This record gives sequence, C-alpha cells and structure tokens, in this order.
Amino acid sequence: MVVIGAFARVEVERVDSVQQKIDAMPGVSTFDLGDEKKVGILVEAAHMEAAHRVLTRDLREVEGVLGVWPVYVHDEAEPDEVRQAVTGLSETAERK
Amino acid sequence: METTRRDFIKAAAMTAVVSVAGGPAMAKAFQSADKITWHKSVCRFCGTGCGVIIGERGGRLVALRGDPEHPTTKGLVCAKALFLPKIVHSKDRLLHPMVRKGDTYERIGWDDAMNLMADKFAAAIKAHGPNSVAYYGSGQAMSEESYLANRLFKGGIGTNNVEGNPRLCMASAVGGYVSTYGKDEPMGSYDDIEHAKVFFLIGSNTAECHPVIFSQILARKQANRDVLIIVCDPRKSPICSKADVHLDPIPGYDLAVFHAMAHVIVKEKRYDEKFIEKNVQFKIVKDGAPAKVDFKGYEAFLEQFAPEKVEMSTGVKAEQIVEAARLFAHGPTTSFWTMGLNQRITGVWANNLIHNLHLLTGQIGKPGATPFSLTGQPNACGGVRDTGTLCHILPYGRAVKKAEHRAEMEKLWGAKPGTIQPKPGLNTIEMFRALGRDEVQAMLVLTTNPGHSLPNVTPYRKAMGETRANKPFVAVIDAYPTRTTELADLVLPAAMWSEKYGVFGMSERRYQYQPKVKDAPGEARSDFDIVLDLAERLEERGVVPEGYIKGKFTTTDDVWNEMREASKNTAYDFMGMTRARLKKERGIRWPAPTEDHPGTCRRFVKGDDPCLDSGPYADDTVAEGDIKFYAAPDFRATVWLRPAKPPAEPPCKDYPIVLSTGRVLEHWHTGTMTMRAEELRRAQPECYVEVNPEDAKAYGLRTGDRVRITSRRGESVVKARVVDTPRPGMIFVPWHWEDDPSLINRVCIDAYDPGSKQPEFKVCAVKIAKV
Repeated sequence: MVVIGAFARVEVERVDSVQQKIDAMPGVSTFDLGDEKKVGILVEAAHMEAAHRVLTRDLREVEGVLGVWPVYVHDEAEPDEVRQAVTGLSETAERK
Repeated sequence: METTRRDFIKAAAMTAVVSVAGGPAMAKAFQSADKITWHKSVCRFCGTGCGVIIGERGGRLVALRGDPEHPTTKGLVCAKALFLPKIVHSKDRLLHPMVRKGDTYERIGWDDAMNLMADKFAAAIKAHGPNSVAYYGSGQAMSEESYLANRLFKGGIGTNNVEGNPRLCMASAVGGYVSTYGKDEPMGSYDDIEHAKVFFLIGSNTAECHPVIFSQILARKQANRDVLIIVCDPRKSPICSKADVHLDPIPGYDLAVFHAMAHVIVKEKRYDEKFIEKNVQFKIVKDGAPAKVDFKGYEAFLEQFAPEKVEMSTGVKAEQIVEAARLFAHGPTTSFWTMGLNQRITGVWANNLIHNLHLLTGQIGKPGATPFSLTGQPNACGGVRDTGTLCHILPYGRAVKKAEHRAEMEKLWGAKPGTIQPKPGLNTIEMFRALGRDEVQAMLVLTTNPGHSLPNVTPYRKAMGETRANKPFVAVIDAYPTRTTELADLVLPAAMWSEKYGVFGMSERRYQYQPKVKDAPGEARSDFDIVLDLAERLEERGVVPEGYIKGKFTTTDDVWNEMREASKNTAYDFMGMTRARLKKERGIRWPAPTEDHPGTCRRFVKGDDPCLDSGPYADDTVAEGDIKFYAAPDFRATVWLRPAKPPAEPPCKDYPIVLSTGRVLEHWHTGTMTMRAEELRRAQPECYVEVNPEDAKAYGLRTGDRVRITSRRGESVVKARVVDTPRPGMIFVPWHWEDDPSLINRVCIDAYDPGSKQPEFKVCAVKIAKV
C-alpha cells in the first residue's frame, strides 16, 4: 500500500481543467487547499513505482501544472487481496 | 479493519498536504497514527536540508513526510526523499566487515578488522612518517564524525592528508567566498527567496537537483508577476522553461559574460557608488601577487568585455547580456549557483565574478539580495567545510598555514605544539596520485565512492585496487557495496541515516540535529564508532599520543561540545547551540553565540550578525542595518579583476565536442542510495547522452543509438537521446551509473583549479561515434 500526499502549483486560469484531468487518473484524486494557485493531490498505488510515475511524469504532463511536490508518503506491504478489495488496484496489474 | 487503516493514512496524507500547502492545519491525525512513532529529522540527500518527519513502526521506517514546522523548507520534500525508508532497508546493505583475499572477500570479526587497519596505519607511519597515511571523507558523514577524523589525523597522527568529496563539488565556492569576503559560507539565507525580485541561476539545474528551492522560487514568481528569473547555462535544463532570460555561453567561456554584465552596469552607472566607497576594494593579480587598483582601473579593465565583443567569444547575444545586467542591477537579486560554476579550472574566479556583480550593485546584505552557493551534499558545509576537514584548513575558518590557528587547535585538542604541520596536505587528486605511486601507504575512505566519483577515474581505480608489490592498504567504510568497496582491502559496514545521531549543516549555515530512529542492520557501526575505535588502537600502537582521544569521547554529544568550544570567538561562533536546543528546534543558523540567540539570517549586517555586537569582531560604530565585512582585509570585500581564461581542454580537430556531466531528478550522485530504490532505478534505468539535433544529424545519430564517447583518457558507451537541451557542439551525460561502459568519469578530465584544487568535470573535449 502506497499513499502519497502532494500538491501541485497550477496556472490559476486552468485550475478547473487541471482538477478534472487529475481526477480522471486511476488512483489519483484532488482536494481543495483554499488557494487558487494550488491543488491538493492524493495518490494511491499498489507500489512506489506506479506512484512515483504519477508524481514525476503523469501529473507534470497535465497542461496548467507548473510543478508537483510531495509532502507525505506511506509505503507498507499489504496483501494483494486486501488492496484489490479496497482499491481495485492489483500490484501485478500495475507493474504491467 | 484494513479499510479503516487505509482511510486513516489517506487522511493523514491530506492533513500533511493541507498543513504545508493550504490554510490552517487540520487535526494532526498523523501524530496518533496506529503504532507509528514520528521523529523530527533532516533529509539525507542534497544540501537544501529539508526538514522531515520519519514514521517508524516495529523497527522499520514506514513513512516520511515534510516537516511543516521547518522554518525554511516548510514541509516540502522532493520525490527522492520519499524513497529514503526503502533505501535504508535495502536488501544489499553491508552487514559484516570483510577482508580481501585474492579476488574475493571473506567475512572477518570487528576486532580483527580494526586490528588489521590499525596495524597497517601504524606500520606505514613508523616506516615512512605521518604523511604516508591519508583520510578521504565525505559531505555525508555527520559533522561530529568528520571533526573527529580531522582531529585524529591532523592533531594526533600529524598529517594534513585529510580530504573529502566536497573538494569535487564545493571547493571553488569556498575559494570564492574566502578570497572575496575573508571567510567561507554564504552571508544570506533561504529567507532571501521571499524578498528577491530577480533570481540569477548560474550553472544550476535547480529544478532537478534542488527541487524544494526551485519550488520556493516558483512560488515567489507565481505570486509576484514582476519577479524574474535569469538563467546562465549552456544546457537548457528544466528551469529554462521558467526563465525570462536565458544566457547560454559556450561551455567554459562564461567568465567573459559576467565581466560583460559588469561592463554594462558600470557604463550605464547602475552601480551603488556609496556602497562601493564604503565596503569594496578592487584587486588584480600582478606578478603572482594581488595588487590594488582603483575604480577607474577596473573600468578600463572591463573595456575588453563590451557585450558586442563578448558575443563573439561566448556565443551569448549582446542584447541578452545587457538585459540580464539591467535586471540584476535593479534587484533585489539573489544568485544561486552550483557545479556549473564550481567544477572548473576557473571555478574560484567564476565565483569571484558573481560576487563582483553583487558588490558593484550593492545587492548584498539586504532582504532578497545575496550571492548564494547551493550545496549538493547534506553536510558538505557543516561537516567538512566548517570543521576544516580538508587538507589546507582547520576548524571554523582557521588555516593550517597560520601559526596562531595551528596553536589554537593544538591547545584545544591537547596536541603537542608543532604536531599540526604548517604545509597543506595532499589535495584529493594529488592524494590519489600519491596512492598510485605507493607514496601514501594506508588510506581510510569514509562514506564516499571515489572509485566512481573521481574524474579520469581509471588510474585512480588502479591506485586503489590493482594488485602489486608494496600495494597501499585501503579501508572503505560504507553502507552498500560500491565501485570503491570492490577495490578495498578492508570493507567496514556503516550505519546509515536514521541509524545514528548527530548534526548536519546545510547550505544556509543551519545546523540541524538528526536522531537515531532504528538500529543498524547486522554488525554495521557508525562512522563515529569506527573512527573512535581506530584512534584508540593507534594510541595503543604508539603512533598517536596516549590519551589524545581515548577517554575523551564516548558519544557524538561529547564531540559536539568540543566543536562548540572550537567555534567560540570565531566568525562561526555556535556556542549557543547546545545539544538540548538542537534536539528541540528545527535547526539554528550560525553565528549563534549564546543559548538565547535565535541564529543569524544575514551575516556581516549590524543588528542581525551577533559577531558585530560582541567578541573579536564587535564594532559599536556600525549603524543598524549596515554591512561590515569584518573578516576581510581592511574590512572591504574584493572585486577581483580576473582574466577570462579558457577551459583546460577546449575542443579541437580530433576531439571536436564538449562533454559536460550532471544530474537527473531520480538519482543522486553515484547512485549508491537511489539505485537501491527499484522504482527510481526503473524510472531512469540506464545512462544516456543528450545530443543536439544539429550534431546528431552530422554524426548520423538517432535516439536509442549507442554512442561511443572518447576522450584522451578513456571511453564510455551509452544510448543517445537527440534533444535540443545541450548547445550544438556540446553533449551532456548524467554521471550516476556505475556500470561499465557507462561510467562517464573514465572520460572526464582531472585538471583542477589551481586555487581551489577542484577538478573540471564540466568541460572536456571528446569525439563521438555511433557504435
């Protein structure tokens, strides 16, 4: 189980479309930070590789995102069946 | 049950984000996370010194978050830091001492290992004198560990053959500060980011190498549309996409650009006449000695650097130079630089010229106005530069050449007068050359990887590892197997970050305490334990005076207290940084001479720097807010008239391309840590070379082709990436990969700056060919 809390600095005029695009990514959700220049991001993944890819590649490719900075990570082993039941994310599938 | 736990962790993650990036913090849910104990600490990677909170459960590190209460990094960390728990728990950690037996290594007990090392060192000293042994340390060891090793070698054994890897990355910055202001280390702080209106980023891939600093710059620019960024770099690193002006000089020719900026500032009278009159002097080196010149002499010197002339020699357009100069002078301007400036045979001079711009314009010592060298390692500043763990210096601004400084340290250390030699020891390159000539007969390498990180590394690898008659003895302390442990005669397993406690000192003079959170695996011991043990055994063998170290130190706390004493009444004075205080606070910036002093935001500024209020530098005549460069000759900082000397190895007919090396976001230095995180390794799985499309066309290269890069010293074969980031005529290779044939340091040049002794990693001539 990997959970990462992060925030993105975004172009103010694109904040809505940025949030929509990020929310459409599997295992990624946004939340409000009360600051129009920033978007809170929660990344859930089966393993760090996928989370890291989201953080350093996928999110940065969203138009309107100026940069992404993590502030929290939790990385603990978790049985695959528990993970699937909770999130629908399979480590084996994610690695592919 | 598990769902609840996952939801809880998600809430904790969101809370952490809100507390860092949002409004008032929500409930601190993470503080009561089930069975997780949280510890305030400091990141293990670069010199930014990000405050982190480590989550430990059942002896394992399971979580990490930025520390929102950290006064300068404010909860931010970069993607590398997220992997620290995983890196610490890497399965290939070294667990036992091992001794080389022919081509293999055999496990050995600690007592036998330490006796072997002590015997080898003692035998060398008795047979060939103290200069037959050497220490090569690291900006990644704790400050107390470096200080103790320095104390042992210089004051105990009596050799100045004491070096460390900061020689490869920051020595030119030290030379720049010392020759300009009289003392090392930045006078400003990260607080200046929040006040600057112009950022001048020189030879610094800040976005990838210091991402948290870059975040703060970006936040400042985002909030203030009049904040501008000037970048000077021959490569379009990721920061260039945010730059307002990009100066891209031919590699190695930027000194003329800085002089040209000064030319514009002087011609257009954008300098601060009052500041110069009061605080600045001008000097040129004539017949090998510094000589004063006046402002008119400086003005005349700059004539050769008119922007139109400089455009021809540097490739930077004159109008861009003019624009950059005008913006710089407007300010408030903060300059940040790293290896692009330092890793050069003109590194000290390049540093001087950045300081020149700040001194001319008075962009110094005011909020948002400072010249600031960023550091690449977590403790290059506090651990090596400040403790004087290099061949030419002693703790806290002292020099081995100065008799009074040697006497002060001998007295504090309890060494016999005359023990510390007056001549600097061997610098890093010369130390490894001497090892190759078998003149250094025993060497201790601590927490660093010279078998990968030295330039022109092939002969130095032979020096360390090649079997021969009278081969020197090399002991290596590390947490992981590396390209250096494979060359060692003795390998000692080290405790890592969070497995020992001590102090890291980062770029802005902030000393921060990091706790021990878990036990080291196997039989690994801290560098402190190992150096202390070696010292005691050398005393037993009669090559270090009895009682010089034995009995004086039990823990790093004891060493810290002596370090505070050593700093007393120096420009570094941190007597007020007690251990108890450091454990409680989020680091303190020196000088902080008393326990109630909050630390210093800006040095040399009356009302902020306590050295101007009491102690040897005190001066009641200086007005509040005014500057006094109290460590400089005549209390004046120096504007240096330096020649625009070309690199050691410019391109030529046979080697027509310039090679520059650097870093990527995912990896750090020789990759001994980041390559242990599979995710980071897979994200950047192999070495590559960036080739400009123009050059790619000329050489028939496409992305994915294998390219042989050959210099006068060696070759490397890596895959091509055809991108327009490097200038035409220049290639860029990140140096993190250790495997042959990727190891790019076999190609790099080991010519070094005659002042700082820092090698020129950033420029050498190569030829390239499709394989």
